[in-house]
Amino acid sequence: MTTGIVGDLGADRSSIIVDGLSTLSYHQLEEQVESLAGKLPQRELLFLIGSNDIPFLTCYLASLKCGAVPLLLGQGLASEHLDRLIQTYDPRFVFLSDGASWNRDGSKEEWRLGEYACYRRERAAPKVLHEDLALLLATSGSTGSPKLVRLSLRNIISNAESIIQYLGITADERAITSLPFNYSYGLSVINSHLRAGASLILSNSTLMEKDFWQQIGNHRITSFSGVPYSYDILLKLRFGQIDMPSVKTLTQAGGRLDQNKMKQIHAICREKKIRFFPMYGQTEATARIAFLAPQDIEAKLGSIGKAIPGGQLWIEDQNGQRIETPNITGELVYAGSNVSLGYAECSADLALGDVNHGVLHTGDLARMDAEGYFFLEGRRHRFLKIFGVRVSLDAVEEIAESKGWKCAAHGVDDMLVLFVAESQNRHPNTLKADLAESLSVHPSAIKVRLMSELPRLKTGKVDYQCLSRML
Amino acid sequence: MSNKEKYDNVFLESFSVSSDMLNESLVYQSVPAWDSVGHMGMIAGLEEAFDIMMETDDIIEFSSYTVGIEKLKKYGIEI
Repeated sequence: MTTGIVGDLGADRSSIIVDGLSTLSYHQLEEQVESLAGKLPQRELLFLIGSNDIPFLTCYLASLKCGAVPLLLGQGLASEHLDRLIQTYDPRFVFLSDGASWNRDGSKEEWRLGEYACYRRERAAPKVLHEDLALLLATSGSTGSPKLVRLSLRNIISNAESIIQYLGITADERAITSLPFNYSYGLSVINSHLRAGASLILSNSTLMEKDFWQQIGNHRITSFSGVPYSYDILLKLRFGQIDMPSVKTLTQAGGRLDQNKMKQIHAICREKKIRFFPMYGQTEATARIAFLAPQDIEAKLGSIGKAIPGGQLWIEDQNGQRIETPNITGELVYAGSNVSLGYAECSADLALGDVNHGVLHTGDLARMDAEGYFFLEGRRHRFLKIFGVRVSLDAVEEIAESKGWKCAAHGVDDMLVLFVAESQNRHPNTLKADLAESLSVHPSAIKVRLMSELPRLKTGKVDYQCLSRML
Repeated sequence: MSNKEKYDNVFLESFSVSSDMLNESLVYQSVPAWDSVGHMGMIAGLEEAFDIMMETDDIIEFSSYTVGIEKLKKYGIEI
C-alpha cells in the first residue's frame, strides 16, 4: 500500500469534490477510495476509460493507492484504437462507462461504480510490472499509438508539488477541470489541486457551453486551464466582456501560444486582475516543465519562461554538448524528479525500470536568452498539436494507408494537411471524413490537398521541406 | 441570396449535414461535427455572412438550429 497523492489539508477545510451528480467532502472521497482499493488487485494492469467525474476519479485514486497500474484513456477514443491497445497490453481489468463500444470477448463484469463497469479479462497473461511503475499515459492519444509514458508515484507527487509552489495553490482554491482527465495537462490540474487540498469541480463542458460558465458562477471558480485553442475560444467569446469575478488564475499549455494572442490575453487578464501563466510541458515529464510568471510576460513575450521549482533546463547542440552562449538554437533538455521512467511500446516494457534517469531530451528546439528565459523555435520530430493533443504525422500516414490512401501528412498546430496524389479514384472528402473520425478530430482541422504527384527526394522519400513551402 | 439561404448554408458547410437535417432536432452535439470546434466555426460563419458581432451570451446560448433563428433577431436579422 502507498500513501496516495491526496493531501491532508482538504479534510480540515470545507474543500469539496463535485461532479454533475454529487458532491463529496475530502473525507467522503477518501472513504470511497479506500473501499474501492480493497476490490482492486495490487500490481495488475488496468485500463481506465472515462471522463471528468467522481467514479473515474475514485478509480484512478484507488488504483494509485493499492498499487494497481492504470492506463488512462479518454471517453472519445475510437473503438478500433481501444481494441488495438487492449491487444497490445492485455490488461487484466478494463474500467469503462456504459455504452462505450469495445470488443469485450472473454471478459466479464466484476463490479460497478456509478455509470461505469469494471470488466475482468480472464485470459490476460500474468505480467511483470516494475515496482516503480504507478501510471501509464498515452503519448499520442487519438491515433491509438501503443507508445505509452511510464510514470512513478514519485513523478506524480513531485510534479504536483512544483505546480502547487509556483502557482501558489492553497486549499482555498476552487478549480474547474476544463481539459480531459487522461490528458497529462488535465491530470496535472487534478493532481496538484488534490495534493493542495483544494476544491475540484469535475466538468466535461467546454468553454463554448453555457453550462461551463454557469458552473464558474455557481461554484465561484478561482481557476481554469486551457490549450491555445481554448484561448481562441475565449477571445471569440469576447473574453474582456465576460463577467467572472471569482477567477484569479488562468494557465495555458499544450502548445505554443502565438505572441499576439499572449499579449491580448495578458492585457485582458491584467485588467481583470487575473494572473495568467503561459506554461510548457510534456507527458514525458508527467506534465509541467516550465512556466512564465505573469509579471514577466510583457518583457518576455512568447517565452515559455524558466524551469519549474526543482527542475533544470538547458540547451544542447547536435553532439549533446551544453550550449552556454545565449540565443543559439539547440535541443531543449530538462532534468527533474518529474521526468518519467521511460516509454513502453509493448507489455514486456512494463517490467523496465527508470531508463531516463531524470533527464529528458524534449525533442523541441529552443534558445535561451541572456536572462535565462527559454523560447521555443521548432520541433525535431514530425508531430503536430491539434487542439493541444499531440498527433504524430507518421501515425496519421499509417492510419490513412490502412484505409487505402497514399498520402503525406504535414501541417501546423491545429491544422493537419494531407497531400494526396491525384491518381486515386476516391473523393478526397472521404479521406477527410475517415481521418476526422479515426483521430476524433474536428474535420475543420483537416485539409486535403490534391497534387499531380507527391514531391520526393532522390532517396524516394517524401520531400517534406518542399511540402512545408506549400502549406 | 435570402437570409434563410445564407443561414442554412452556414449550417450545411459547418456541420457537413444534408438540408433535410436543418430542423429543430439539429442541436449542439447531435452530429459529430457540432462540437466546440464546429460551434466556433459556425458562429464565425454567421458573423461573416450577416456582418454582425455576436455577444458572449448569444454565442454560448446558440444551442440549436431553431434557437439560432431567435438569437439573430436581436441583430436585426429575420430568417
